[in-house]
Amino acid sequence: MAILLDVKNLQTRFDTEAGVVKAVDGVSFHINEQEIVGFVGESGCGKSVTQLSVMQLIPNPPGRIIGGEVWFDGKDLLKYERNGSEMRSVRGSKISMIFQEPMTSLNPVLTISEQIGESMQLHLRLNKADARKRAVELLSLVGIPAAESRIDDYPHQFSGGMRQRVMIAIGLACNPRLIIADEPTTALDVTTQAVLLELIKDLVKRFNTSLTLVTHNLGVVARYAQRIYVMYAGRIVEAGPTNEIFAHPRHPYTVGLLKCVPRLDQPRDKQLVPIEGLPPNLIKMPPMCAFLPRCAYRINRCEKSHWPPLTPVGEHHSAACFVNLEATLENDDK
Amino acid sequence: MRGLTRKMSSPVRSPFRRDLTGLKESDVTTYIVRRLLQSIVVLLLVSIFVFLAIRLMPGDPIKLMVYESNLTGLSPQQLADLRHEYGLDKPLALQYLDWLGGVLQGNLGISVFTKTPVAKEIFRRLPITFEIGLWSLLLSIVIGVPVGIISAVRRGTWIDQLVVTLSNIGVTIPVFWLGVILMLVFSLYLKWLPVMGFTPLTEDPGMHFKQLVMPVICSSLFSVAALARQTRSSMLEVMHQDYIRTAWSKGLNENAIIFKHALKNGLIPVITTLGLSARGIVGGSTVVETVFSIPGMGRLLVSAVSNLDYAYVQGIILIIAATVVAINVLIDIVYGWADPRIRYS
Amino acid sequence: MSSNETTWTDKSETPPRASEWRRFRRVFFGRRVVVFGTVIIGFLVLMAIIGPWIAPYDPIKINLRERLQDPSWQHWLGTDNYGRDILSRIIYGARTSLQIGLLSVGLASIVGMILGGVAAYYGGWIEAIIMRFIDALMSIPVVVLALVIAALLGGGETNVIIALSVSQMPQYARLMAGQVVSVKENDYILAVKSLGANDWRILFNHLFTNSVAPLIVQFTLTLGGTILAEATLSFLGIGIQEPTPAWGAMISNAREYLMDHPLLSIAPGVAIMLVVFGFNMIGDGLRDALDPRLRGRL
Repeated sequence: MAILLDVKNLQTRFDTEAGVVKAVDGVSFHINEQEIVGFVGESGCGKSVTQLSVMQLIPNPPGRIIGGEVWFDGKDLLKYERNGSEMRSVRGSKISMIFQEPMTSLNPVLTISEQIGESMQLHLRLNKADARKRAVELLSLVGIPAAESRIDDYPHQFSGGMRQRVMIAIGLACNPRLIIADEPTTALDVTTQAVLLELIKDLVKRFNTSLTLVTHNLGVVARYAQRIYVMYAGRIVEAGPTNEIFAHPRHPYTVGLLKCVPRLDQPRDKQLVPIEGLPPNLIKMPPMCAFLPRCAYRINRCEKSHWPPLTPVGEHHSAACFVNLEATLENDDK
Repeated sequence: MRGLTRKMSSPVRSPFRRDLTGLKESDVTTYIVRRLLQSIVVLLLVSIFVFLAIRLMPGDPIKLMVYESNLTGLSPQQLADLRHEYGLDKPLALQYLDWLGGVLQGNLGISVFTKTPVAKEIFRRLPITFEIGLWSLLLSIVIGVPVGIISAVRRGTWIDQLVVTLSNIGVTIPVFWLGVILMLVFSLYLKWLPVMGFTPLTEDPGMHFKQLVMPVICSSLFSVAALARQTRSSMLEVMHQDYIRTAWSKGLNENAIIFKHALKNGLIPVITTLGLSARGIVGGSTVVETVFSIPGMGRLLVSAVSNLDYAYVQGIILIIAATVVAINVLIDIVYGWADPRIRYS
Repeated sequence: MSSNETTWTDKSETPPRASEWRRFRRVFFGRRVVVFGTVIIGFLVLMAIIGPWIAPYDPIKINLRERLQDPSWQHWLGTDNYGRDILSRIIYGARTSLQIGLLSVGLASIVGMILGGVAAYYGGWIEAIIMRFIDALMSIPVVVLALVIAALLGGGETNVIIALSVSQMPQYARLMAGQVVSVKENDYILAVKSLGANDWRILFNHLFTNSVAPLIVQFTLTLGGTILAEATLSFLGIGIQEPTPAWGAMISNAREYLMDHPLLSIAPGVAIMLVVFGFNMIGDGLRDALDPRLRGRL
């Protein structure tokens, strides 16, 4: 499998009143062609900011990308000027985004036709009539019935789930190589979530597109993603194939995440265990592992060392932890 | 479009159809008619206030008139006759209905001082006030809105600083004082413009416009500043919205973002400010016309108020209220045109 | 997948009071214009209080021998056509402006809040009547409304205050009505009410915590506008009557001598501008510091 997107040592900062927030602190990852990759972590762990940084969509001020490389199609996207023409020719055409809030991510005063059609007019050089025709096709493709009659409606005339379908249509419009879906279904009710994720998966497969699926829902990644990156406090703490990580988690944070997911393969009376404590304050970060205060498996070395680097723990599987978790967990079970 | 057209024939079917609740387009005319009916209620209320407020005030217009015109020798019988002549001896409700009936036929009453129909004089002066008002409104929009947009787009630059400072000062300058200062500078010192007065367009177009320059500047100053402030702050607010981020993610350039995506949203609150500005300009005509000795409706109101000439006061307030209500209806229509969320609900 | 929902503990740490106060101070004094405005208003209040002790001359006593003097060491800003010291009249005028401004905005806010609150709380025809009454008042421009009321009542300080407060009242009624409606529609309130809690107490608690910020901001911003309106009335000869020193009337009076003695007109105008500017800036600063969400709305 060829690598489509290769991100190296990405660093994004936010200047706030209280100080500088290291929202993304040296994150490296890659996305292969036609692959679905999940990014998991709590709110504020930097998973969304990472994706926005790839697209250089971080609002500046207060945000700024201070380092790293984003290789795509043989070019480092971070070398491009933030809203310059080269960066803009990537956005929406080669990489597109689906955002979390369908209620606010569509422009309330423009028709659906205009909003789906405009990127095709821009990137594919379609005229208005052709763009509209394609918009209707896309709209029925994402499962909006009577697309022809809904195409000139405004966003507020659609329900939340329908609006997210429109967002998906916008994301697909120029047939991009990569779609970044940032918590695409979090704002929706559970049944709509399931339907939309299936839809996204089908469409991505059909168009041979890669998908980055950002979510705080481990269930979602388990079902759709081939690989997972687990993020905590602006860093990747564990990375690997989905099955491998679910079967043999190697970072205490991942273990914690898994413990609070109900599983069908375990007895019903087994309790769900929430992770104790709060996510760290990203402004005053001690040099040690950020998960330390909440970690149940910490050892002496953790308190004396700097943050552990991401190190291989298996084939394609790596974790940022000093503890030999597999051995510890086995002991626990006995 | 890799593969899109080929596979388009079999749309992915959604097993769930319940998120299919599109809102139905309601009739735009109904919306306007409803607003018009509300406006009529408001105008009727204003007419009742105006009528009652003036009738219930201390001070009897007849006695006042007698006093003013030094006719102190009138007998009680003569006073009663005068009262009867002006219908002031009837019950209050009847007086109101009489008056309202007249108003609806374009008869705003007869001044007890000048003994002439009030409507005639008001409508003679109305065009003058309207002309100044329209020029002022136009000037406010043409300057205030673009300046606000530029300021928001170039946030933090010296242009923005200048606009913010000037508009902050602009809303604090007393209109009458600005008039006096403009006169001092441009008429008395520089002698570029006539000090005051009004010449009809048909008589001397050059003089007509020369005399309008300072009044229009004065009456538009506040709205220029207010519109610039509102445009700036609502554009800044809009630029932070999620849908602007969506627009950026499509690869649009800054101009398309500002003019296609942000402006239409950003101008919606500005429409409200525009309505308030128009109301302010109507109110400001009293001051501006007094300062520049312009024979418009505003100055007529000031002198009617000073003389307690009730018929004029009633008539002018009614006209002003009708104008403001008409502006509000217009603003609501523009609002509905600009914001589909209002149009369709 | 719906069965394996992952939930996270929500961080709901409330910041301590002291840091809130510090944040308020930092935002409020963070803008130089706001500091400038605060200094102006501080100075105005000081003038209004200690004016009689520091004003060099009697602002009312006519002294025709010294009429229309140019600025000098005796009269820093000169004298008017009655020989009265302009500086002294401006200092005394501060008291007039502030007094009328505070009283009328105070009256307007109390009456407006009661009307708006009652309307929104009871709803139905009570609301319809009150709100249409408010609409009707709002269809007359502030200056015109104040002008007519003041004139009908016969001018003078008390009547100017009444006129100004009637014309400012509708804004407060609208503000309060909006707040009450939002309380009534609040799910939390419905829940507590269904448990049989006294709804007046809930209403007051909620209104108090939610309305203080917008009210303080509105109060400050309308103070500037009201002082401007008072000056306008006095200029038109309907407001404060001679010989009471009022800035608007001073400008009106000085117009006749504009050509030869422009300072007579300029000085009181600058005083009005500074004060209105000061209140507006404090209002802006308070809005940003208390509740940034109000930006663009007030």
